[in-house]
Amino acid sequence: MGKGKSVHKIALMAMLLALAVALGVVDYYIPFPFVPGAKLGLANIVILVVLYELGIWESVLIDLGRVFIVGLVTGRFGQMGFFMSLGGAVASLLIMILLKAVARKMTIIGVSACASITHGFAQVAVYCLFVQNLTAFYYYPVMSLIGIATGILIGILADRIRATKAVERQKEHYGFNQPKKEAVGPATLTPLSPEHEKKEDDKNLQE
Amino acid sequence: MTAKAFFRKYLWDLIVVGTLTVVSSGFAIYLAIPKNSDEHTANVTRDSTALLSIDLSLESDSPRQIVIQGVMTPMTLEVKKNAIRVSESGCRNQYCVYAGWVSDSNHPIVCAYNHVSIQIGAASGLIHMGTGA
Repeated sequence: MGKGKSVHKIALMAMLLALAVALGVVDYYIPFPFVPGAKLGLANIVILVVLYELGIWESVLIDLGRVFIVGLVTGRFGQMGFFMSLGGAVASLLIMILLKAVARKMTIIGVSACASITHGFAQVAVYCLFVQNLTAFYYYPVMSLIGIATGILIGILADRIRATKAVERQKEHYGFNQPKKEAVGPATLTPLSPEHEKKEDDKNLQE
Repeated sequence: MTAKAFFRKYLWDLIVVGTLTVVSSGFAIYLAIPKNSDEHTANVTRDSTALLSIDLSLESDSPRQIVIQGVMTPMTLEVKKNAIRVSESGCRNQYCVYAGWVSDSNHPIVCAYNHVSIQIGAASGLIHMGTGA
């Protein structure tokens, strides 16, 4: 990747991280009534698009960066809520990477739904580890049903965003996540053989 | 997109997500069914420490209040005959308050902010708030 493309990629990732943080903060302030821990997971739109369009390490970087910055912004850094978010983010990202690599027949929507369920499971597991009490797992079946619904919604949104012209343009101009083309050398003129030259001369004479 | 094309494109998504939905729904329905249990003891724990054990069968029909100290803020519990709820908590989302009256072992109350869990079950051997025994 050239220097221009590298700088563009860093700028693009910074913008995507900022977008993920903004969506994460918005998500934090939208309570899902009556079900503890259930969230829309808006920031996952960015993570899914990055995973599918930029790559694995880029999505890991943006996801972990988002968790840390949202933790600092919301004042939860170092508290149990922060570790629940971190656990959920790591587990859901692992599932997304695994499913993208292994279950190639699944689309981004199915991957998103599975990631959402895993996120909820990891959050409950971290909580139970903290308080050394399995009571919170009683909420998990309802949480997972909500997770499936929100995961499908987020997956559809991510799928639509991937199909937009903005993403296509980025791919065309900068070749992100595109298979590398074989190097093509400069065009060279190959001399014609004497037989070909004779045929060409005959053609010209006839004309 | 035709139905055939839709199913061809999303077949594996439908299989995986459908299976997970069925399993989760099964568990959710199982937990939603109230159980006839003789267990009427509310066990209140903060982190891994048992705070209170309240025999709800000994309570009167008119609610009485108990204040406990959560990890972050104090919490006010209300107990009446065979039921318990969190009436006040300093947590942001108030999920523990929304849980309302609980009288079944399948419906615990969890306050993640205060690290407090309330579950109805067998007596834990702590001091009974109702009788002092």
